Amino acid sequence: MGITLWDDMMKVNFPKDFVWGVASSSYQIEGGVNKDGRGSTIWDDFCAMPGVIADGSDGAVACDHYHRYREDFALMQSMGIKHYRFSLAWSRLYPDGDGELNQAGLTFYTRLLDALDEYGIEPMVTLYHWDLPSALQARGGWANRETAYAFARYAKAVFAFFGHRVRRFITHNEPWCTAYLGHGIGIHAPGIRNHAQMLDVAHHLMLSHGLAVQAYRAAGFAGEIGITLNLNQVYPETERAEDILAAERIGVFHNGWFLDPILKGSYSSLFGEVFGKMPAAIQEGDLEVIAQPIDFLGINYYSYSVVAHDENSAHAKTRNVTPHDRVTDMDWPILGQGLRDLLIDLHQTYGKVPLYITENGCAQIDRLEGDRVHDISRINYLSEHFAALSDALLQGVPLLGYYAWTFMDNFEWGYGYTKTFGLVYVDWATQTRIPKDSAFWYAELLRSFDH
Amino acid sequence: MPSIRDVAERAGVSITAVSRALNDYPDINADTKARILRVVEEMRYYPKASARSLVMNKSNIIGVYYPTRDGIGFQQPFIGTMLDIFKDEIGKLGYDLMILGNSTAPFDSFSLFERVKHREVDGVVLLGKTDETIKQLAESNVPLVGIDHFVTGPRCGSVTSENRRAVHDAVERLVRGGYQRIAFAHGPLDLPVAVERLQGFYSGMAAMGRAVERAWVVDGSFSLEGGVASAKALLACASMPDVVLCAADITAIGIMQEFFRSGISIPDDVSLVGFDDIAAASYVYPPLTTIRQDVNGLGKRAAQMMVDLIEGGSDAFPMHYVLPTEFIVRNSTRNM
Repeated sequence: MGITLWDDMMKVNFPKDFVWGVASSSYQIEGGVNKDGRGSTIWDDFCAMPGVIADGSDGAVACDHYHRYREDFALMQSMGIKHYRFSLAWSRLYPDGDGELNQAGLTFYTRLLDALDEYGIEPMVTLYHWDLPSALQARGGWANRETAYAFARYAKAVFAFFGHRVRRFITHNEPWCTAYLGHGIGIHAPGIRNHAQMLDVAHHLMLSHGLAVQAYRAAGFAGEIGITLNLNQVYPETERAEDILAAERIGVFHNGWFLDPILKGSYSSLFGEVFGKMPAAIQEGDLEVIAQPIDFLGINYYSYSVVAHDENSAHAKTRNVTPHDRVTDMDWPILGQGLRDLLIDLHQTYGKVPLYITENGCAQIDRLEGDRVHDISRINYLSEHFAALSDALLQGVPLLGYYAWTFMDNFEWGYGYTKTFGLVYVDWATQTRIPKDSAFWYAELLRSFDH
Repeated sequence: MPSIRDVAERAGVSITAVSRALNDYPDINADTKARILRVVEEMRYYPKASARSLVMNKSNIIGVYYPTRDGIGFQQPFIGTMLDIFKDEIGKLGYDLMILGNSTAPFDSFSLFERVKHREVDGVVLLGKTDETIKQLAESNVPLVGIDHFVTGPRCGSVTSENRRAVHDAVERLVRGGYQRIAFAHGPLDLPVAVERLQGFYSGMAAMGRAVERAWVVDGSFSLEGGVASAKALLACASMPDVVLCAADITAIGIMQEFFRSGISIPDDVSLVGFDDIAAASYVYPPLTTIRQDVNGLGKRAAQMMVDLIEGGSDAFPMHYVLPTEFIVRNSTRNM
C-alpha cells in the first residue's frame, strides 16, 4: 500500500487563512471536579462504577487544567498554536443542568477566555463533550426529550455570555459515541445497553443540536456554529454489489446515522435495515429542526474500515476485513488516504458545507527518555494525514482548518490514563508538561506556514 | 444519501447490474448501462472506492518534462509531433499526461524529484536537454524515459535515433554523390543529440578521407535564426562549400532564406540537407533533402517502454532503443 507523507511543497495547497490548532475536552483535562460549585456529571458517576475504567481511574484530577490553564496556554503560545478547541463543562455553569446559574463557573470560563486572549489564542468552543449533568441523567438523560430542551436553554445562555467573543461554536462532539458507546454497548457513560433507547438518544441529541443552532441564529451573532461527528471511511472489499451494499450499511451505521438527518433532513433509506427499526422518538417537524443550516461540519477522523457482505453475521450482515498491518496503540488501523477519500466523498455527497477537522491524531506508546519523548510513529501518523488534507484541498474540498487531538495526554475515557494521544507528555506524578517530538514537529510546521 | 439499491430500483435493474455499470464491466447491455448511469447522475449517487483502489496506488498519469526557455517550446515541430504520437500511444495503454512546468514560484525551492513525488505521477518522460535536476530523478525508482535523449538509472529507459550513424552515412553518401566541400551546421552542444550528430559528421569525413574546413562548421542552434546566422557565417568565408549538412531541418530552412536573399541558388550554387523530416521540409522550395527520424517509432517505443518500466516494477531492466533513420532525397541536392 502506498503511503504519501507530508512534504513541504504541499503547503501551496493550503489557503493563507487555514486554521491550525489543537483540541481538548473538559472532563478529560480539567480535574477540579468539586471546585467552585461544579455539579456532578455522568462521567463522575460512570467512573465510580467498578471495572468500567481500565486502570480504575477517573477525571477527578486529570491534567489539573482547572488550576494550570495559564501555563498550558503559555506552552501553546510557545509552540505557535493560535487556535484551540475545548469544551465547556455544562455542570460548572448549571450544576443541575437547568435552572440556577453557578456564578463561579461563569467566572472560571470568563477568565479562561481572557487568558486565551492574552496568549493570542482563538477559541473554538464545544458545548457538549459527553459530561451530562447527573441531575439530568436522573430524569432520563438523553433518552428524555426534555434534555434536548434543557440543552437548548444551556446553549442559549452560553451564547449570551460568550457569543460576542467566541467566533466558532460546536453544539455536540461525537453524538455517535454518546448514542452507541454510551447507550448501545454501554462502554461509555451512562453505561446503558438498550438498542431502542440508543436510537432515541441519537435522535434527541440531533434535535438538541438543531434547537441550539436556532437559538444561535435568533441571537444574531456573526460567528459560526456547527457540529462535530466522528466519521469512519468505509470501503467495500470488492466491487461486487453485495459488498458495496454492505459498505453502505456500515457507512450508515458510522456516518449516515447523523450526517443524513443533519445535512439532508432525513434518515437513510437503509436505516431500518441497519438498525432493525426507526427511532420511536421521532416527532412531526423534528427533522426540519435537526436540518438547520450549519456554518460548518466538524470531522473527527481516526481510522477506516473495509467490509464484506456476510450472510451469517449479526452485525448488519457484514464482516469487518480491515487490514491490521498498521495500527495505533488503540488497535485502530491507520490510513491517511482514508481521510482524503472521506473528505472528497463528503463533499460529493453532501455539497458545499465547509469542513473542519476538529480531531485527528493517534494513541502511541510514549516513553520518556531523559527529557524527551521520541514519538516518531505519531509524527508519521500526522504526516500521512496532513498529506491527505493537501490532496483534498487540491481537489477543491472546502476545508477550513485542522485541530490535532490532542494538546496533552489526558483521561482517555474507558482507557483511563493507559492510552496517550497528546502532543505533550504529562508526568502524572508532578503534572509536568513535556513536549514530545511530535509537538516540536507540529510547532515547526505551523511556524513554516507563517512565512 | 441514496443507496445502490435506490439506484437499482429507480433504474428497474438488479443491484448487481448497477455495480457492473459503475465498474465498467463488459457483461452488461450498453443501453441498460446508459440508463443506469443516467439514474446514477440524476440521484447524485456517488459510488465509493473499493478496497482494491487502496492497494493500487496508481495515478495513471505520466509527467512530461521539457525544460525549455527559448520561447519556442512545444512549437518546436519535431518535439510537438513526437509528443502527440506519445500521447496517443500512451493513451491507448490507459495513461494521461501532465506537463510539468519549468521550476517557477511557488516551486522554486523544490527539486524536480520532489515535484514529481508531489504530483504522484507514475513516470516521467524527458524531452530536450538534460540538467542537474534530472540526476536525482534518474537515481530514484521513478520510471523515467528519455526521448531523443539518453538517460541512465535503475528504472530509466531511452529512445533515440541513431544520430551519429545517420550523419556519418549522409556524409559518405554526399561524397560518393560528388560533393567535395561539405559544411556542417550543428545544434546546441549542451544537447547530447547535437553532439552525436556533430561526431557523425567528423567520423564520416574521416572515413571518406576528407579534411574538415573549420570555418565551415557553424552553429545552427536547432533554430531558424541559427540557420540565418549560419548562412551569414558561411557567406563571410573566403570560399563557399558546395553542400551544407544541417543537424535540424529548421536550421536548413533558415539557411535557405538567407541564401535566397543573397541570390544564392539551391541546389545549383550550394546544396542543402536537413535532419528530422518535419512537415515543413516538403513544403519549402525547393523541397528539402533530409535525414528522416522515425518520429512514429520514437513516440510509440517510448510509450511502450514507459508502461513496461511502470508495470514491470522492480523487475524492469534499464533499456535503450536506437531507431534507424532514412535518407530522403528531394530537390535541395543535385543528382547524386
